[in-house]
Amino acid sequence: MPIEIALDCQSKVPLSRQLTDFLRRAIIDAVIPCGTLMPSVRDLAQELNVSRSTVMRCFEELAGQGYIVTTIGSGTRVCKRLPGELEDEVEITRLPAPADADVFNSKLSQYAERLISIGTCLEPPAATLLNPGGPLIDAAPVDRWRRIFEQHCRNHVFNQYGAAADPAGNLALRSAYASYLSRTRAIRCSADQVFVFTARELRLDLICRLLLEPADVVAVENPGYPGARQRFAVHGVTVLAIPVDHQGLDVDFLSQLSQSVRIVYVTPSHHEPTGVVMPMARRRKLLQWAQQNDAFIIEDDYDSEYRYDSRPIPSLMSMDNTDSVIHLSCLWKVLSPVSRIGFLVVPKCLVEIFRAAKNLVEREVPLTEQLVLTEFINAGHLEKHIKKNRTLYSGRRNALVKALKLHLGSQVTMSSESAGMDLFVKFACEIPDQRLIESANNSGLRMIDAKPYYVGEQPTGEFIIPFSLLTEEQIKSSVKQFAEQIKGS
Amino acid sequence: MHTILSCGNLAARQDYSKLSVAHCQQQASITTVFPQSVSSTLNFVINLEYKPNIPLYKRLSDALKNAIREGRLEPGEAMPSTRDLSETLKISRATVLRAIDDLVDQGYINAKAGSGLFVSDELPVGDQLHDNSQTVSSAARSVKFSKYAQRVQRQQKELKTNWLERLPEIDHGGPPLDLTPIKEWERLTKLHCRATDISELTDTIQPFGYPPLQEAVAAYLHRSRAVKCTANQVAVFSSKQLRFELVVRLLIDAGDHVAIEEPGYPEARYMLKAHGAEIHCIPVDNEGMMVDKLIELNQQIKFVYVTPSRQDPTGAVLSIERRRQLLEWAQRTGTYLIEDDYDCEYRYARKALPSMQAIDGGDCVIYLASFWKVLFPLVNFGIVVFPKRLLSVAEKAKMETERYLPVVEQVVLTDLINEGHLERCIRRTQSKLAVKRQALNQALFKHLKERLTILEEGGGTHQIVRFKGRADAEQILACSKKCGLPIISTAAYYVSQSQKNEFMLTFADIDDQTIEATVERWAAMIEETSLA
Repeated sequence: MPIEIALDCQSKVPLSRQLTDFLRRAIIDAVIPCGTLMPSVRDLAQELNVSRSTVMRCFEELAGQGYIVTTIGSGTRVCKRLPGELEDEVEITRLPAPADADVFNSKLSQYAERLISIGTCLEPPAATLLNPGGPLIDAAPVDRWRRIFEQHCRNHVFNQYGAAADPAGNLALRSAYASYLSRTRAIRCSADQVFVFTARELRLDLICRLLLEPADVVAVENPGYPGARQRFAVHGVTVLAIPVDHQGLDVDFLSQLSQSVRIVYVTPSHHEPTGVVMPMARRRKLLQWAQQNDAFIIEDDYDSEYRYDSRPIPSLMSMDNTDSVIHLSCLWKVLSPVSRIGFLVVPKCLVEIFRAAKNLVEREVPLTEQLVLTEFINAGHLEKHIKKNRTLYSGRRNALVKALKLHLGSQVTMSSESAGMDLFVKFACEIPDQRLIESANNSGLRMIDAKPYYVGEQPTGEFIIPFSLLTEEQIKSSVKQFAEQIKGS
Repeated sequence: MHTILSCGNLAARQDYSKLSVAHCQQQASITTVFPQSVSSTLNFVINLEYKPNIPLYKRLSDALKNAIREGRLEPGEAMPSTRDLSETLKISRATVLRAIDDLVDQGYINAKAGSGLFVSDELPVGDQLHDNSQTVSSAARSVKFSKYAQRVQRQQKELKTNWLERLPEIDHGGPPLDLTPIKEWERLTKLHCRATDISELTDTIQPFGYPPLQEAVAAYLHRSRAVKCTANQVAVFSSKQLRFELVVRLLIDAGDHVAIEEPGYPEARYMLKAHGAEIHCIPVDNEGMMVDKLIELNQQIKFVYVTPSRQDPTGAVLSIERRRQLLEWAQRTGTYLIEDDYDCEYRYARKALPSMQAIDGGDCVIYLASFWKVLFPLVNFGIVVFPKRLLSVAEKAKMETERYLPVVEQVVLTDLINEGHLERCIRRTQSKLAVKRQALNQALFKHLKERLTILEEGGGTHQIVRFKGRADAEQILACSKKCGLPIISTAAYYVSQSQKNEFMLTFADIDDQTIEATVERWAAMIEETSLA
């Protein structure tokens, strides 16, 4: 058989898997025609220089899936009729395509039409851009997680499925998370108010669908998280961009608007991208505004875990006693990649409708992951882990700030807030942004342009530098190299 | 049991230790008044109340936390040494240290090198606020809900059901747990948990799923259902509902017309109603959906939701003629077909027909699949094979609703399919189910031949029966509950004319040895109640 089979011994994919995938593809694509006599296990093993058991395993899998058949005495052949081929005897053939191929064109919903017209910043490469400063992978508690996971596997958690299933999420997890929020974010809520989402994006999506009509108005921060803006826009609502000053969202600006704003989306614990933390007075003002205007506040608390110099400010939701705040949080910054579950805490007046809607859109949440996370929180691993990493990230942040000051001096200004996993910087030099980014990348420093965070006028020279993935040594040398490159140009 | 002991001196302390050992062994609650220091008058109480499943160190840390919260241990105050705690409470130093660690992590106490442990000057933010926040109970706020939310509410009211109670009923028809490939699943899960490259994999995951899984699913669907697609048409969703939900949102605005089967899967109807769709119910006979009636509607329809491989719930298989008719009509009128292939795995009498997607030449079938009937509850993923023309908009919508999926589960499922466990499992389960089904049908025939009709459709995990004449549905349900016979009324599957006395007997979980006795008891009970 003159077929070239290339196996990669370095690959993590086992050889038998590679061989099976290759042969199956070759059979489906008719490179190896139906009825072909396959070489013997011994010959093939010799030719490919792999063990006979590898080839045997591959043949077994292919036979199990119905691609080849072994007859004693006459060897192994590719089946005459492959699985998935239509049977002639029942006269089923693929129907021809209709002559007029355009009949479908006007058939999408308004939602879909909006998706198509807006979709510029939705392209997958944006995924990395929208989430700068992911957690340090080495620092993720993969081992601990794995151990609990294995333990649950041994305990046959699946037997508990019936008792543990709940559209809002496993009750034990919701209770554990409620008390975690009470400890760390001062939020007093019952487990009923907590919802567990596998699909994190769905949280904001569902809020929009339950509370907004296309004619409604929402307010977001400018600059601000483009993903949120996008999600609102896809729902067809009018999105107003409210300026952000050194204390966060400008509430006075909000109060002077003529439109009646139904929802305002804020990131008070660590503003995206500038890193500003909203002080208490501003928070009170915002709550008061919400109460007077019968509006809801969506508090995206996505990056509240890491603060380095001061104690965390309690969340907006903890200060609210008028049922105006919806709280979004997730442990992505801490537990990625082992867990990506997202949480939503809603005020009491919304519990019932969210329960009903969650049941319609996402009833099943993977049980094992929920049980492992419950144990992870209850046994204190989560807080221990955050504490450990806080020291680590704090060191890295200081190193970055110091190095930037040392090598670039007055050319760069930084946010004074010491929180999060990325640093917001402004360059005061004449060098074009693209050059700065290239120089940074060449020096091993990742620098993300802040322009996409802005609506309207986009200032130059503003960047986010995620520092969580670099060691202090790496930071020092990268910044030094970066500074030299800029000066050289 | 609560024991309160005052132990001011060493002797008493030692006495107490003996007692406490005894109590520990009985797993009783231990409460002790703990002397802060020999000279101090300040005592605080440690209440190590026994709670099932909560480790000792956790109970100790909770008790100490309470002491701090309630001010019995004041901010800045020195903590008793771990040795003291360990000796007094007669628990190991390691346990005490773990409890202390826990409190340090949560910010209740500080360790100062060289001088010991102190209660934090400032309590963690959570506790701080709880003490002085006014407890204004918010008056029930009136909320202006969207039209979607109002429809959801209305529906909730109409159904008058508690979802939690209905879960087992909604989730019927999963395979019995002992027939799921649980061992393989666990083995692969452990394997992939151990491989530290989870993090590398994370980056390869696209909104439509883990590419090797898309490839594996495409190949599997081609083998088993003749589905013809490329891997990039396959989208993996974390749940079955989200999958249907997304398809509906892409196609439906409130007021648009759709067609579904009657009787038909109620969950699909609820979701369509929530979206404000105008629903046309097309009757079903023993050849599946009556396509003629659909065509007679003469109505511009956005899509038809159909379960051709095994109509839910009747089990009818959509005949070849009707499939062709439906596809031709759909292509002519520009209507999408949503083919829900939810129950195609198990056939007992005749061979399964290939999916409609397989014979669609006009790119108008949206194919839905899941591993529900094979792998529940190991994995809940839902699969959509999108027609090419919808791919780009579907990718965008997926980004907006569910960008990330659990990593390990996807990798495990990829291997489970590629290594052939999935198909082996289907074959194994099918032969076991065939035995159960046979036993059930024999028992029904033997004991209830006169009272009910057994619909002869060979597939799936449930059997449909219709009671003849007058029979009280409530009573039948009550009787089967008493006998432990799994039964579900099909009333929810109907919209207009409900078949009151039609039921699904789910046989996946029955025992083929004892089923006859159960059916006999059931028959006797029904006989009794209907005579009374």
